[in-house]
Amino acid sequence: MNEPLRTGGDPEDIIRLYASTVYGLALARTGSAADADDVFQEVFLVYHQSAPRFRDEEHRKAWLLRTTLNLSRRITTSTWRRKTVPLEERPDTAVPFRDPEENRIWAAVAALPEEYRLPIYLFYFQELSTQEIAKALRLRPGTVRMRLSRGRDRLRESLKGEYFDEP
Amino acid sequence: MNRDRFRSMQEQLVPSPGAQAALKEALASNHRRPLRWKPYAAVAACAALVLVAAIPLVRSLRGPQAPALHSYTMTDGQVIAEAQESAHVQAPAGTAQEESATTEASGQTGTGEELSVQAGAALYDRLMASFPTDPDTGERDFPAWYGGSFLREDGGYTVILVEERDTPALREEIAGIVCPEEDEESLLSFQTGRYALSFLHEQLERLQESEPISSVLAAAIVLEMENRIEVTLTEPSEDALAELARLDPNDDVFTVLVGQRPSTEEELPVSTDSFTVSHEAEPFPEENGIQDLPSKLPDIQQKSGATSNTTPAVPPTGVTVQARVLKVTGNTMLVEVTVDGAGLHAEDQATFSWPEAASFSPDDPVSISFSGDIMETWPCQLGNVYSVARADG
Repeated sequence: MNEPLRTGGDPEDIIRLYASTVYGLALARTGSAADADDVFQEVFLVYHQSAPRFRDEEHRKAWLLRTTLNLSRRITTSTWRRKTVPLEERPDTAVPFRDPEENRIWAAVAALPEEYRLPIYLFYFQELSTQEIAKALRLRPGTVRMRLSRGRDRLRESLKGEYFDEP
Repeated sequence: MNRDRFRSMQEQLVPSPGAQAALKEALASNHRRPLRWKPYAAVAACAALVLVAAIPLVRSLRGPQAPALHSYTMTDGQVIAEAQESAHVQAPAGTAQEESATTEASGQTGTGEELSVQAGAALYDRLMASFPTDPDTGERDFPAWYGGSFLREDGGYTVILVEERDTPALREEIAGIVCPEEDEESLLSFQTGRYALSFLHEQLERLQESEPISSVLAAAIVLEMENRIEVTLTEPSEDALAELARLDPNDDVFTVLVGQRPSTEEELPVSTDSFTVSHEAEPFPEENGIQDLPSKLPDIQQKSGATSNTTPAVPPTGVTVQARVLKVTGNTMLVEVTVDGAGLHAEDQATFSWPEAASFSPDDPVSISFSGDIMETWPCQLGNVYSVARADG
């Protein structure tokens, strides 16, 4: 039957290891640094409180990605949020990367519709395979490849360059 | 290199120092409560001592003990229980506890509900796809929290969680798996049940492996909606009932019916009160898949103990499907459908119980006549099977 699951790992080590993964995905999903900070805290609090058990590290990462998406969705679709400021008008959406060119790339990614933005982000920034993205986003791998392709097309137009080349 | 640039950017995507500090503080002040096991252990130890002391005492008071027998119900209307406790007179109630007000919503299905049935079926597909499959047997490896699931009459989808493993985090995770779109979440509800589906499947195998039971076993099927197994025996032999009681000491895993299996070749006393599902098979559209499964399992599951009258029998007609035998285990046959029909597609696998299963061998082409009911398990289980015949050619 199923292997015994395990938690494993010091909580601080887990946070250190996955802070950027969780925060980056939350930022890509919500478009707001403040919301991404909130999601980051929520995810690891849930992780700490529920103490989920995992078969392996891949399982842990998949859980964190999925929980990040769920909590991000909860924040961005809350009634309160829908009645307040649109995401693109929020003052905290800009991310201060060191390099202005990097800010330009991020702005182009952030401007993509969500259906393209998340696959693009997970593929290029988190270096997940299409299979892993499909699992995280509950999509078929073919759908992920299609969205990556269309997302790349849009980025080529907006960036006038080949940053997001074919794998 | 762009990859280096993306890595560099990813490394810069870190939560603010304020958020990190707040998390650290929250974690420090929110230590998970350690399990206070000592009081529970003390209570458990006391209870164990009392039990150990009480069992010989009770035995000595009751004299020589006959083996405990499982309760059962005659399908010709007689409700009989030879279980020793009066509480076992009736077929055990379903252990699944309803938690959603919408779960048993009544009402006729219309076009809109048919659409939502398909939506509910999509949730089922996603959950099934998330379970690993044994590469050798092709069987799904259900996790210990999964008690089964079913499509509701209102088109929604209900997942049964094993009581002791039910947590908000688990529900959240399941919702994330089966409802990628927010508007689908209204279709999903949860129930809790006592038993994991994997345990019920194991019990099913034990039934078939037990000689006293298999010799009188007419059918056995997992009723996911009820979180239990319905067992039909050709006769209530004491050995079989004792073995059933041993396998099911709480008398709530098996609902035991005693009666002959319906057959197309003879008239049988099938009570319409007991079997409310029509023997007229529901037509399935030509291009059907899981989305086209019936939205509700037949009421046969819920009324096993409600037999009362023997009505003139109507030979069941059923629907027929062509298949090839893959495996025969005891009275259980695993087949692969060879021709689309009766709600099944070619290459679908299906399982069912048949008393003469031993007369078939792997690769035999067979023609199976059954009620048309298909349980949403994997492999799917056929409802009442009326006949299995070796097909020509």
